[in-house]
Amino acid sequence: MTASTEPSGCVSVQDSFCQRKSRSTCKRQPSAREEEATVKEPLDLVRLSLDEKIYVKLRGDREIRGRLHAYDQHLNMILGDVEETITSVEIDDETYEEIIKTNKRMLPYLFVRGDGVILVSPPLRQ
Amino acid sequence: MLFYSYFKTLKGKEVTVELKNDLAITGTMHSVDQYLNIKLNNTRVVNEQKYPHMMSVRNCFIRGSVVRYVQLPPGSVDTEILHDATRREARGG
Repeated sequence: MTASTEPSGCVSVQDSFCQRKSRSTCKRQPSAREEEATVKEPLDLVRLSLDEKIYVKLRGDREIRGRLHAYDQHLNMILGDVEETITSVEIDDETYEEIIKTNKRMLPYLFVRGDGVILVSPPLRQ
Repeated sequence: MLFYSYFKTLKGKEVTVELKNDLAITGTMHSVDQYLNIKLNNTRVVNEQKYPHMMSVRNCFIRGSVVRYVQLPPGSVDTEILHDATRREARGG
């Protein structure tokens, strides 16, 4: 089936979508200041956390607290004054009780690859 | 593109790349590409006793997708430039 034989319904749906989209872009342009401060999409929350202390939960029972210096759409990040916490569970040989251990380490600057990120939480109040 | 550009500025600097299998390799950054694949020279493994088979490896290519962290040398991080570049990228890049 070629494009020209497609049901007309599909085409008109797409048209109206395009129109709506173009209309929304015609709206009054917010000032640069307004644009800075509003959260319209999830990544805006990360943008507002630039140069703030954030909490990042990672795959492999790892957590990071640090100052956000750079990020991109993959959530690759560069953090400063980083504290990494690795949580592990060991089972006591005799009592079979679960012992939760946390290993911490400090790093001055760290690049974190985005594919390991589970969540990012904005400024920590401390 | 932000991190690709940033890593290019680290050429010749010493970094520690921590992989998803917990292997950590220190070496001199030789080159990087768009996938953040990294080539390191003068490599040494941080925990050599645990990974003796890596002792003879002197340089290596690391596939970007297996990287967990890159520990950056403090002197090579200009936070102001990073903030500006990040805002620019978030706006339209």
